[in-house]
Amino acid sequence: MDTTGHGYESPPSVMRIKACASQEKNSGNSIITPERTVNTIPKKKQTALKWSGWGYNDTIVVCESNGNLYMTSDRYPHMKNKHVNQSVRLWLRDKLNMDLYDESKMVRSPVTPQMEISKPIVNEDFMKGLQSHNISYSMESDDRLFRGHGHTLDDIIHLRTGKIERVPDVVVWPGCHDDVVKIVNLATEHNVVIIPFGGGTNVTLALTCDPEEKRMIVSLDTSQMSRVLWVDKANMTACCESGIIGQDLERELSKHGVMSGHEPDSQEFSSLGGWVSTRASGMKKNQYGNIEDLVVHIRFVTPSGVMEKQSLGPRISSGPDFNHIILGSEGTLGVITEVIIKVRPVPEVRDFASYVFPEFQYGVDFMREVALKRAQPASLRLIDNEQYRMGQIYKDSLGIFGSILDSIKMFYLHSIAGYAEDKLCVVIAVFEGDKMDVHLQKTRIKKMTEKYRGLDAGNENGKRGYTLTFSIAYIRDACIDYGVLAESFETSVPWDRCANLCRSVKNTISRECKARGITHHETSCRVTQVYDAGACVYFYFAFHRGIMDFHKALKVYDEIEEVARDEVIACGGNISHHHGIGKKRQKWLPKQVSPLGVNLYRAVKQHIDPKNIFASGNLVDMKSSL
Amino acid sequence: MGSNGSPSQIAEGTEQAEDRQKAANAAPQLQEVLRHTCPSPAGPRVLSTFRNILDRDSCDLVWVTKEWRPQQVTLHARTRTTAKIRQDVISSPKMQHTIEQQLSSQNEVPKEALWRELNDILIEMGHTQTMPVVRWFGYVLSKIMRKIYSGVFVNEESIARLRASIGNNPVIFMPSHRSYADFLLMSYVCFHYNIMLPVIAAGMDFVSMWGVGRLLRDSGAFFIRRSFGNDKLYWAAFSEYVQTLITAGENPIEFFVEGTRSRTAKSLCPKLGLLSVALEPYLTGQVSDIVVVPINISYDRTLEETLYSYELLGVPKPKESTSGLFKALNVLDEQYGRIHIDFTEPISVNKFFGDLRSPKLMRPLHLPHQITPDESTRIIWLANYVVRQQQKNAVISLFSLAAVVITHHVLTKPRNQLLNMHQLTRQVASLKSAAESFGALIDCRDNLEVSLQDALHIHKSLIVTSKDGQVQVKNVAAAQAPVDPAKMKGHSLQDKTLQVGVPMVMLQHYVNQTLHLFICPAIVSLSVQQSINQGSGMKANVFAKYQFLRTLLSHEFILHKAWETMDFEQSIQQLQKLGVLDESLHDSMKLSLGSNSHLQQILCQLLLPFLAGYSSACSTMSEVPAGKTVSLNEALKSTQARLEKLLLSAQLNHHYSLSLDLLTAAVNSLTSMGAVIKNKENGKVLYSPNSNRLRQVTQIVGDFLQLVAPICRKSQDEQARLLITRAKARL
Repeated sequence: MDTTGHGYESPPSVMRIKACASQEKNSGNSIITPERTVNTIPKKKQTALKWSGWGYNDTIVVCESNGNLYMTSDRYPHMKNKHVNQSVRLWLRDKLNMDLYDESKMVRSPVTPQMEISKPIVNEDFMKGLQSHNISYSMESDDRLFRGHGHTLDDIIHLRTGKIERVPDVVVWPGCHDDVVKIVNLATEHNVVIIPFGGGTNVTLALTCDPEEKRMIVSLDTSQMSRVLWVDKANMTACCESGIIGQDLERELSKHGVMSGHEPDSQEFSSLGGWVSTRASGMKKNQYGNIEDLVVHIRFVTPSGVMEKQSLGPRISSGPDFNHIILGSEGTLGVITEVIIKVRPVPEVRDFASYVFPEFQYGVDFMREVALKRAQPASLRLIDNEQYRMGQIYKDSLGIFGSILDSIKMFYLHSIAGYAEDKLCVVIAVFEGDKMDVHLQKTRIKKMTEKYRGLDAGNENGKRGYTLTFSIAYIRDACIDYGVLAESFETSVPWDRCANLCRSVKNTISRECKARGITHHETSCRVTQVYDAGACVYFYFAFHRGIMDFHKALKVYDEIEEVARDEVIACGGNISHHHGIGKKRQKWLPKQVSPLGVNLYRAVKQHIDPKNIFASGNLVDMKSSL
Repeated sequence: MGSNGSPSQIAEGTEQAEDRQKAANAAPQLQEVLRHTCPSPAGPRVLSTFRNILDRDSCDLVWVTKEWRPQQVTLHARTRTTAKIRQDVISSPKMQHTIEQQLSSQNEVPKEALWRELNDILIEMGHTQTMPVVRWFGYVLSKIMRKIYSGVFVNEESIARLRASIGNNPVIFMPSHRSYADFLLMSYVCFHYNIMLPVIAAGMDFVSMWGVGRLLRDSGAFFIRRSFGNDKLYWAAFSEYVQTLITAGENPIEFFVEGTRSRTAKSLCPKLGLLSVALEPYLTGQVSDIVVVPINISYDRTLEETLYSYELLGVPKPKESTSGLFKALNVLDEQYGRIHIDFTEPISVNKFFGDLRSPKLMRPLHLPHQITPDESTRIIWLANYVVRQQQKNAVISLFSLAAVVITHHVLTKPRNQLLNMHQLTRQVASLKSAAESFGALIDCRDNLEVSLQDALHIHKSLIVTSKDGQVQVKNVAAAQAPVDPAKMKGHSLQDKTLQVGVPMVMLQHYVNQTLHLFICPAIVSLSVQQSINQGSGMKANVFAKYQFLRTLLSHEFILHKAWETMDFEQSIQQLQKLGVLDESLHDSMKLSLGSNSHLQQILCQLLLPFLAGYSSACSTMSEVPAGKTVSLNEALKSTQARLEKLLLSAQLNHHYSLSLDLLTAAVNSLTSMGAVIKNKENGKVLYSPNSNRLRQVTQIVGDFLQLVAPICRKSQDEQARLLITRAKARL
């Protein structure tokens, strides 16, 4: 049997090419969606999204002088009608020199870019090719600027202060896989740089352009490749174009009664292709898996051709799994165009729960026990004391009856149960499944919490904690308005080193702040993922810049974060759990994967992309060897 | 000597040489580290920052019943009960692994028996710190201290510094150890300054003392057996106990890096066992830093001075017993002067070891940790650094300086030429300025004469000043009960020897308090002298001799190899400033003696008892026939016998050479220099000479001894006459 010879011509592939090339028309097969997905975010992203911060233009966090806190749109129903009470206000003022009652202290970002964007470098031959293929593009400053950054603190500060040295010269919007092949071939032919762009939500400086790059830089925006090509309910898989963003993906899949369940904090804006290329992780990975567990098949366009496996089987033993060269490649080897992912039925029930523990260590011990028993619900997160207190700004505004009830609860917690306000921590759980499953899971978890002095704090708190995740990035922007620089970084660590890592990193940061004369700072962390062998820990570090200007403050921030990352690694953590390397964490890569590992990557890069077309500079700085 | 190759080559066996080389290689890098991490305090230390904590506003009763809100060691610490700590040790993955996987399968002992044994060990070990006992004890201590001490002076600047550096990481207190009083003093000081009371590692000998064991336990002591050799279960239990204290970070841990009380008042070479165990949580990444605080406790007069003197000469130490303690209470009638306590600059272990940290992370925590050679080098360095810091932060009593002058006088001057107060004051003054130029802080509060008289008064049982101002050493030995020769640890010394020996060794105790200041300059100046005598004087030649002496005395003093060059250069500079070496040199590679020959003589004479003792030890070992071995005890006995003969025949006149500690160090030193070979036979340690090397070493030591010996030749009889009897003194 000659299977290999014809492998590349196999029917599914052809069918998809047709579906794509025909642009609009249905080929007749019912599982192929012909229509373009209605994208939530328009092609000109800046018309809907902030140019210098997180999220929608119409949504900002406002805190009035009476303590009322809300968001200016209805997109986040849980962010309505909040009230920052005096004790939280004072706590924040004490810790971060941030008075939420005093809006006059805020310096909002300018509404439109205040900077001069340099003229694009144009490669005429490439542009001619692009036009002849009839592929949509733009050279407008706004479009280019939007694709020249991610959401790293550095990016945001640079945008606000107008210090962007280099942005892509052109933004192209391929409509399908074939368009991408054409663009990549053109770029290879004319030696033009391609930087793939998905949602632009990275926090690793992954989209920052190299100011030294003399070639034309093309930002390949996948946002118009956002179709769900087919859903196969027999095998519970779906074939999607890589540019589809999380919220659109779930909406489209839900039309078929299924869902992916992949929910990173950036889910509203980040794209499927971006998830694959950064090895993303979602909040509910316990139930649905991380991106590498979800992926069945990837189409990958490189300067040396298209790479894909010829199998839809659930598993394959055929030497090393080359999907893992694509996963985490961070746009340095090629463009992901289509991904077949696993899907799950939309759950019958979604329920929430929250538990209070007297101290962080108890919480960690509880999480460890859950992992041991493999009893984790869809999502399980442990929030430390600092973050719990920070979260108090989200408290609902209560009526008189509510406040009395609240103070009774608090009195019970602190005085009768003996949980100190400055020590307690909270676990938030999300359960998904059919009714019985969820009930069983909940009962089991409840039982385990008791062993570690956990108290049930109700499902409302759980629900709030879960949904507020999506508003955290907005808060970060508001913090910057108050002069507070804040950023997150994450790691994964074996269980027995988890609590110490959290503690030590906090100590280290506080020591470093002290050494630099920073008086107002706060570090908090949460344990966000539960694995058999360890956990994912997520840190937030914020400080008030005081008299420093933003650039100086940013430099200080980066210095401290670097020391903190050293400490993370010294405590048995690793370079990143899901954010990736980008250009921010390259320093630690050789130590993390061994120099041989780096060389192996270099060899792959050299083979796939000898001209360094995908010159985003992520993972490894190729300039030193090329 | 001369043609036998350079002394430094002779000095070391290859293996040790390699180790030392390694240490030396690590040196520059670490020195760099230290420069950044341990900045020397802004100005020179001054007495005015020391405050007498007995001199407080509130009365003792109010003081001990004050509200107890101590500064926490780490904010995350949970206070655990004794039972909880025991439970934590038992349930720790490491302990589980040791018992379930290792011990029970290797020894075929039932697990249940091991768990029971572990529980017993932990009960025997565990501390039970309880505040009521601490308070009550603190009250009694206040009363006692007020009676016998004229003040407990604490450097308050150092307390402020300590306070600033604790709060995030586990803390280890490492005080110097000269007296039993050290145990109590530290807790007393912490209580006074509202710092979390330390948990103290103590030797098991206290437990058998009725009541005292309990009392110490309740004040926070935990007990470790003196030797547990290959008892793996004990080792595991002990290390887990220490490590749970470190990782939990509830209390500072206190232990004495010298391992035991120094009978000689010199710092002992640091012991590494407990320190290594305590650092393990750091090395394996369980805590991100540990703060080590070396502490110096300086006594004007040591409680145990007489006892130590006997002990060093080989008269057996009475077993610790409560009745013994009560007998010792007659110390309460005496005056012991002042105590000075200085918490030195806290050391961040992370700064010392940071670069060695990560490779450990690939191993799970329950597996036993093997200290790597790199770590071991670093631990040795840290331990030595801690002791040096203790020494550097000593407060030197004027009596110590007087002891140097008196000893020098007794040894060098004819018997009819007594030392008078005037001479003593003058010489102490010049020695004081020398000591100060070596960085010492001298306890001299008034003008020198008054202060010196006060200092001598404290020691009136040893030194008397007659009405006409003549200073003499008293015979303190006579009052002691006759010693049963069978109980002698060393050679049975004659009464005649003891009568001079005991007071002289006591006096040397105070001389020793100053030796960390003088040892390097003394070695350098002796090296210069010999080099010149041999017609060289070249710096390189001097350095080779210095290296030899330093290696020889490295079991006697804290002379870490890595500081060799630094110390050498520093000493030369200091000696030049003092005129001991000629400063006006045209040839920077050549050294010559300066005009201050008196100080040079004093410095060289300080080495006499050591060189004499070591030389005799060499001779003793040389006489061991080829193929034969001796035990340490035999070697010590016959060396003492040889020394006594020399003393009686007036070929030697310093009784401190008889010190068993000194002679033990000599044997150890010869062993590590490769001149003596250490063998283990049936669990016994035996020594045999390595003839060629021993001959070389003996020769060189002899040459050095020749150089210092002529300065002070006088017979024992003559010396005995110098000492007046107790009866006479009372008149």
